[in-house]
Amino acid sequence: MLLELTGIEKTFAVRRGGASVKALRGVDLAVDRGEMIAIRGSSGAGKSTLLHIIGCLDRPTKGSYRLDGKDVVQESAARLAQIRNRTFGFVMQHFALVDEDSALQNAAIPLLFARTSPSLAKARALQQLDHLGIAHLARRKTATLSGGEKQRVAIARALVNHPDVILADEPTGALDGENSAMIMEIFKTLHAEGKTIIIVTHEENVAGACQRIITLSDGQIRTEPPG
Amino acid sequence: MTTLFIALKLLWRRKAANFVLLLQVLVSVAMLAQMYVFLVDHLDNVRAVGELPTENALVLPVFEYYPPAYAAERLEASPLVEEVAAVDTGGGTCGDTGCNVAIYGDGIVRHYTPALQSGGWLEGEAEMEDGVLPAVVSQEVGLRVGDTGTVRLNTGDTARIRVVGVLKRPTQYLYPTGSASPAYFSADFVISQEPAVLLRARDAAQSEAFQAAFSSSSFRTSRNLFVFLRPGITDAQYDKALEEWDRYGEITPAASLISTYTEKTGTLITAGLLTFCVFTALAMTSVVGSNVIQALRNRKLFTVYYLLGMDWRRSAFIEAARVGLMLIPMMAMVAAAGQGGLLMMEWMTPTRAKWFYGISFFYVLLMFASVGAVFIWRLTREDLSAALKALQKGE
Repeated sequence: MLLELTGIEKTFAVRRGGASVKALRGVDLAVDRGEMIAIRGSSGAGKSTLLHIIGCLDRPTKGSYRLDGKDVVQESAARLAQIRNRTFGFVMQHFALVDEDSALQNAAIPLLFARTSPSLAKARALQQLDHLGIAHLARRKTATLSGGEKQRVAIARALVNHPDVILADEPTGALDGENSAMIMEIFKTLHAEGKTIIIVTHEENVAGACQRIITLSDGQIRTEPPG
Repeated sequence: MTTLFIALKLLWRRKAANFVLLLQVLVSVAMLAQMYVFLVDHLDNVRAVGELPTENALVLPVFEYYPPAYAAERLEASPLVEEVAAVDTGGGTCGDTGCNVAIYGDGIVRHYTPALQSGGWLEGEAEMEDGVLPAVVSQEVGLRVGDTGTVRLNTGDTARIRVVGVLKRPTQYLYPTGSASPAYFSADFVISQEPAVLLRARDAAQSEAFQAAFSSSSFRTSRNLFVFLRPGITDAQYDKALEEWDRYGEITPAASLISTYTEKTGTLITAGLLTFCVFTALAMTSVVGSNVIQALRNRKLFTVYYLLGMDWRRSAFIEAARVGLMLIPMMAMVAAAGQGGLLMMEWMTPTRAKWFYGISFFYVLLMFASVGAVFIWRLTREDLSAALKALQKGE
């Protein structure tokens, strides 16, 4: 198994004397290499929290998480940053791009933290943009791009370090039908190439494209095979 | 290197706003320079006037319609007066250095000794030999004790001098150039800080060069007489004498030169302090405002970087580097402003200028660091879950 989460709990302390919030209540999840999984659930079910824990953006309050056989819960902040950089690629609903930077600069950001030389970083970023058909946009500031173009830049950025896992949080949420379909085709292609993909979504057609749908309800998990 | 690279990128992105910010801080540094000069000038002048005995000493700027010699004669006739002396003033060059030339009467030489770096004062020195006048010079003239030199007066006449003493630096010596009513007559009217050659009147009187100069308008016979009273005078005698001598000029106790100067300078320093506080407050407001804007933008940027593999603690280092890097152009601007005459450097000695650069560095560092520290502290306490949620929502 590539990812094994066991008994994962996450409690958020609310400031100013309010009650704490339990976002995840004992989640067990195993993901094999090469799987494409959808995580569904209503607002507040804990989907993003689960994705953050999977992506080493946050630590669980309780439980164990083994990534490629290694326990990552007790790892240092610096080591987790390294894991995020090398193992995961993130695609967010509203793209999470740096507006003042060009498409090429955005795509190269993970390589900055991987200590790749500037020339090699530029070449690899350009290669990913080309792979996604947007090399001609390399020098354009991302603020000037359309939604579909921005999401492709975000995907290029997610792929530039050749990560094992792509984590996408509502990747089509801010796109129209045509662009959504295009993005899902890209994910299917990546899946076919062997990437492990985990998508948080509330869209039926996006979930339907996945091998497995996991439904989160009130911080707990229910697995359903695709229909 | 990555930290520095990102910090530089952040600075460059807001280069126009950062430049304006640096200008605002520079203006407050200029106000700091003004305060600094006022303070050290005040301390210097108070020291210099303090070298003149103020007990039983009066300063009399003689009215235009009285010849100073006549006024001096009338005063010397009083049984209350021990001695009357004058300072004749002029200008010239010594070697390549432009300088003031001050000629002190015997009474001045006996009652007054400026601070010396080396050698001795004119009192007790032998008479001039072979037409070479004993002189005390300031360090800027470039001569040492025992050296001889040539003074070329503004009249074109030249005189040979032998150095018996060198003034301390900054140079401070008696050099009356103005007068006022007692309420306004203060130490800065009778003190100078320019390069100087100081001579005795009885030596100058024997010099052909000075004899020619005295008859020229370039050399000014002093209209400020220094009156030294005998000890043991009663208050009533003192007050009566002041009333009587009032007819010759604006008679002023020497002690009041200091108190008037202290009061004047105090007012200037207070005004300078207020101006400094206002400009510092403006600069601080700009620094805070800039940091607020930067913090809002950086929150999203650092969250994206965190997402892509940055250790969140690095964000604090990036901010610290950004603040630190701002100091470089800031101090470069301070140095340029100093060279450009905006920081009153011409009023400072080289040592004091170095001190000022040090003070302004710490001032700027304190300003940037104190504000930056607050934002860095907030950064280390950032709620990353909330930041990631905001990023997901596109905020």
